[in-house]
Amino acid sequence: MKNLKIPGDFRGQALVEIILALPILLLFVAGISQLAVTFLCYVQFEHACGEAARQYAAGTINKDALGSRIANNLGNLSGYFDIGSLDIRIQTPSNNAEKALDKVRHSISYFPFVPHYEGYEWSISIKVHPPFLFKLIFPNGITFRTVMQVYRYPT
Amino acid sequence: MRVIGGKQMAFQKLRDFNQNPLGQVLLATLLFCFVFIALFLGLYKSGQAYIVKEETRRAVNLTSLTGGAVYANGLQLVREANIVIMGSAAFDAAVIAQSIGEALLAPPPLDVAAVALAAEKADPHSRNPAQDIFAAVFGVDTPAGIGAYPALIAGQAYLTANENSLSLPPYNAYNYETAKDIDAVAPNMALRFRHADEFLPDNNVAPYSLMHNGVRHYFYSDQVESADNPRHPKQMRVKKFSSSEFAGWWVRREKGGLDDGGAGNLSGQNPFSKVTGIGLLKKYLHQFKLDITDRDDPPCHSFTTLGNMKVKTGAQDKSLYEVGEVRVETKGISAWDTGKPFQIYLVKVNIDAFPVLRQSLQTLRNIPVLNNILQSSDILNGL
Repeated sequence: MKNLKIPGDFRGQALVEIILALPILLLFVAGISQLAVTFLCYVQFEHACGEAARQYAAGTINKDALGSRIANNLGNLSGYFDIGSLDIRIQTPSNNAEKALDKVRHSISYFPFVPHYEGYEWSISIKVHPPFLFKLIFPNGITFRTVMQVYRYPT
Repeated sequence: MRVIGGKQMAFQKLRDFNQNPLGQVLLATLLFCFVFIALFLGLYKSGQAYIVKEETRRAVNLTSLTGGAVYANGLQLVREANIVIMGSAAFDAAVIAQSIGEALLAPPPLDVAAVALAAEKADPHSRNPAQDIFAAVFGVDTPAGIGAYPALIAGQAYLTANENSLSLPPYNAYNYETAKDIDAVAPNMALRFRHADEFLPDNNVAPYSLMHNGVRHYFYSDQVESADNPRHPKQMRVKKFSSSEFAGWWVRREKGGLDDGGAGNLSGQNPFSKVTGIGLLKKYLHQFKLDITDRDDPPCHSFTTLGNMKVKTGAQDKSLYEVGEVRVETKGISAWDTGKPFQIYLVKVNIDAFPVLRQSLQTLRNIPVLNNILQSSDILNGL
C-alpha cells in the first residue's frame, strides 16, 4: 500500500501561529482591561464628587474646599486624573421654580434670626489621561463631567 | 444524474472552503473576534449600569441630605415660633394668675372648682392666633400633618431630585419609623402641640416609655432590646419581633421606673402616684394648649427618598432604584432650645426593624411592578 504523505514541512506551524496571534490577543486583553480602568476612573470621579458634597452637607467643609476634597477622594486612581484640570463651577438651576426658590433664599439670608438653608448646584469637570491604548484614540485625554446639587443647614 | 440546487451548491462551496487551511484560519479569526466583541460589549454595558447605579446612589443621597437640611431649617423655625407662642402663653398666664389671685388668697377652705372656673373665664387666649398660624405653616395637628413648610420640604426635594437627574417624581417617606398609615408618605414634620399637663410627671412603674401623639406608653425591661445603633449605643427599642404595635420604636429610660421590673411586676410604685387628685389636675390642665413639640418621644425626624435613574440596556430602558435616609437630631425644639445645633446625617435604611412596614412590603411584592422596584433597590436589605 502506498503511503500518503503531504508535501512540505509543517513543524513549528503552531508556534508561528501563536507568535502571530499573541500580539492581537494581548491587544484585546489590554483593551478590555483599559476599558475597565476607564470605567473605574469615572465611577471613582462620581464617588469622589458625591463624597465631597456629602461632607459639604455635613458642614465639615465649606464650598471653597470642595475641589481639594474631590482630589483627595480620587484615591488610588488619582494618577490617571489631571488634577490641575479640575474645574468646579456654580451654575444656576435649570428649573424655573428652583430659580425662584433661590431668589427667596437669597433675600431671606439678609434678615437676622430667620434661619435659611444654603447650597449650590455644581458643574464639575476633570480631564483623565487614560492608559496607552485609549491614549491613541483620545490623545488629549477624556473629560469627565457631572452636575450635582445639594443644600445644607448651616450648623 | 443528480441535480444540485443553488442553495446546496453554496453550502458545498462553504464546506470545501472550510476544509482548506485558509478557510479554517478565517473561521477561527471570526470566532475570536466575536468572543472579544461580546466581551467588550458586556463590559461596556455592565460598566454603564455600574456608573448609573453610582450616580443614582449619589443623587438619592444628595436629595435626602437636601430634604434633611430643609427639615432642620423648619425645626429651627419651629423653635422661633415657640418663642412667640410661649411669650403669648406667659402673658395669658399672668392675666389668669391676676384674676384668680383673690380666690386663692381667700380664707380656707379653698374652692377648687371656683378657682378653675375663674381661670378658664379669665384666659384671654392671646396665644391662639399664633398657634393657628403656626399650625397651618408647620402642619401641627392637621390631617396627616400637612402644612406649608412640609410642602416646601417635599417641593425642594422634588426640585433637587430633578437637578440631580433622578427620574421624577421621587418617592419620599417622612419619619416612617414612627409613622402610622398615611403619615409615612404625606409631607409632615412629626409635630404636635404640647398641653400644660405634660409638665406634670406620670405615675408609672415601668422603666421604659415612648410617647406618640401625646399618649405615653410604658414598657418593662423584658419588652425592650438594644436599638443596635452605633451613634447611640445605649439606645433601646421595643423588641422588633414582638407583637407590640410599637415594635422597633425607640424608647426612653424613665427616671422613676423600676430597673428590674418584668412584665406584670407591679410591686413598686412611683411615689408621685400617691398624690391624690393628680389625675383630675392633669385632665384640667390638658385644655391649655401650649407650644409646638415633637410628635414622638424619643423624637424621630427623618426624611427618606426612593429615587430611580433610567439606563438603556439593549432596546429597552431599565430603572435602577436607590433609597437614602437622613435623620435630623437635636436636643429639643422648645423656645429655650433655640441655640442648640442640629445633626443631619445619612443612615442605613433598616426596614426590617419595623415589622409593620416589613409585612406591608412583603404584600407589595406580590404586585409585579412594585416587586420589580423592590428587587432592584436596596430597600429590602435584611428581608
